[in-house]
Amino acid sequence: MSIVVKNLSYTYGVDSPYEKKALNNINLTINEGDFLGIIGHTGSGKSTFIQHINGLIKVQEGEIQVFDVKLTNAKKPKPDLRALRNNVGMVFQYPEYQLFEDTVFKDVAFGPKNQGLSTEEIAQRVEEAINLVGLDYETIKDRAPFELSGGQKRRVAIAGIIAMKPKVLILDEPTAGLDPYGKEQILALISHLKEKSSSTIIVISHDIDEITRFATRLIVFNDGEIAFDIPMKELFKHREELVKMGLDIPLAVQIANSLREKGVAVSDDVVTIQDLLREVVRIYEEKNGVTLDKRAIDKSEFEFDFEGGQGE
Amino acid sequence: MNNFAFGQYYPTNSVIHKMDPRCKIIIVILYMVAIFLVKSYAAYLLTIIFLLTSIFISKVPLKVVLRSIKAVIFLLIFTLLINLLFYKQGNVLFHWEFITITDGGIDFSIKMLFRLSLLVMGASMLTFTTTSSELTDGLESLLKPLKYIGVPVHDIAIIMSIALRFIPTLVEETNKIMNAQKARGAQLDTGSFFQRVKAMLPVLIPLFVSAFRRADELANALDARCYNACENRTKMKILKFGVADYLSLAVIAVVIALICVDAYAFGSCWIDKAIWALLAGI
Repeated sequence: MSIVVKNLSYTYGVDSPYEKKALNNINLTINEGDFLGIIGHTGSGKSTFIQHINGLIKVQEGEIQVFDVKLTNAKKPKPDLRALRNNVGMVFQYPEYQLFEDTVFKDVAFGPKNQGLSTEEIAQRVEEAINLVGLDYETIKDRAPFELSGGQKRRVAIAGIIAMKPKVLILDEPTAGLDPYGKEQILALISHLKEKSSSTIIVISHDIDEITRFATRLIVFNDGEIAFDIPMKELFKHREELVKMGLDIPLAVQIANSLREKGVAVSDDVVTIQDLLREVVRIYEEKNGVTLDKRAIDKSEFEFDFEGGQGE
Repeated sequence: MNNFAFGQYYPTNSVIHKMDPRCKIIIVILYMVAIFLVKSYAAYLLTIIFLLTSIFISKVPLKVVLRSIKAVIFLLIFTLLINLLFYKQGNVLFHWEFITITDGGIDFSIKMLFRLSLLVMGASMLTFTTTSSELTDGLESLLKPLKYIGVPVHDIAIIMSIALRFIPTLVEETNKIMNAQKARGAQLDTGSFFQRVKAMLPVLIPLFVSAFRRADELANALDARCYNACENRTKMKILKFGVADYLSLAVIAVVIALICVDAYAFGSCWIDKAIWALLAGI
């Protein structure tokens, strides 16, 4: 178990007219290897929650155990925030706005440098991280981050976190404000990072279609509480509750619902577009007694080469 | 955000909140003048009563108003000590090396303490009960006469309201960037002074970049809406004096009159002197 959260509550602006309860009695265990998707409305508490995991917000009530570091509201002993942040890497919303150095290399090196690594180790990690996010190290390392395109900037910012080699990687709305192509690239990158870099990944998004693409576990925040915590495959069971909370249900589930209404016997566990395609092909085959070539289904629309590829 | 409690609008929808901002600005100016006219404890008591009454009517908790002193607590303590230790008039009560404490010094430093904290609390009452847009509207209207000598009053007002509008945005932005850099292991609050200044660079550079980006976007948005500050623009909310405004002006006038009577009529500070005499008699 990498992260254990017990009875966590948090209130903003205590004793002011702007007082607002952001988290209410959160209990949660995140295991090593989890690919976790968190969804919820703006103000549902999801951002407040993940900032707790990185020690950026002081715990008011309850406790959090992240690997060996324990966070409580007690003043002493002081938690080892450096060790915590070495283990948990956090990519904020619009991470490109935190770039500040005059070259890409220096900016990516900022995190590892703060970790106190040797110059050679830093150089090696920076090269590795830049290649990992699908940028060409040699051509980009000496360029100024501010002259890159939006998608490239974001990948440089993500590289800055990956270079710290966190065991848990948290991404807050990683595709916000990108064009569809840039979005696809970042989503493919996240799946890629799960294999190559951090074994535990937490992604926050308000777009459920994005999350169903890769996450295996889904947590829904509503009004500062965890509404449910389920394996992604069981999402269909909760579609009515999701709609009631004003959240979208995945496109594939919506289409499956419409098909069911028309009398097509689509199975219940359709969550992703791939599931739906497979299901539709299966039904078509049964009806017409033919066998189709299914190789194309599992292929994603876009293919990206991440090992040192150009990407753009 | 807790550090910015000083001067933050505190919505309670009271009579004072609904008053004309011009009237509130005038009253605060008069109040400050009054504080500098005050010479005796009796007159201080009167201003304190005036302040407490307005706090009570505004429904802003006393605790919140008192918190505004916290921002200047260092200044208060500093002036108190300097006045106490180096004021040389009056009877000497204690003397050591270069330090002299006199009864005049004690009297003066207590009065100075009252004066400064009353000033700060009064000024923050204005911002507690007035939104920044009301404040700029009021100032613009009050400064209107300056237009005739060629001062671009409306431009100044719009610059002020934009500046005020963006303070909370920039504070939020700073917090976000600080969090992002802390997550990357930046040590922002340890080390020597120069180390800390250097450590702030990763926060300041992105902050400036984003401030310029915002300014650019805002300028474009204003252009796209054909905004032009030169013509005579009408207001959505027309400022108008009401009963509460006239009444409060009358009250502050009475307060100032009483303070003047106390300070300058019948010899200075006659109430204080009478009370001291009474106490001495007991």
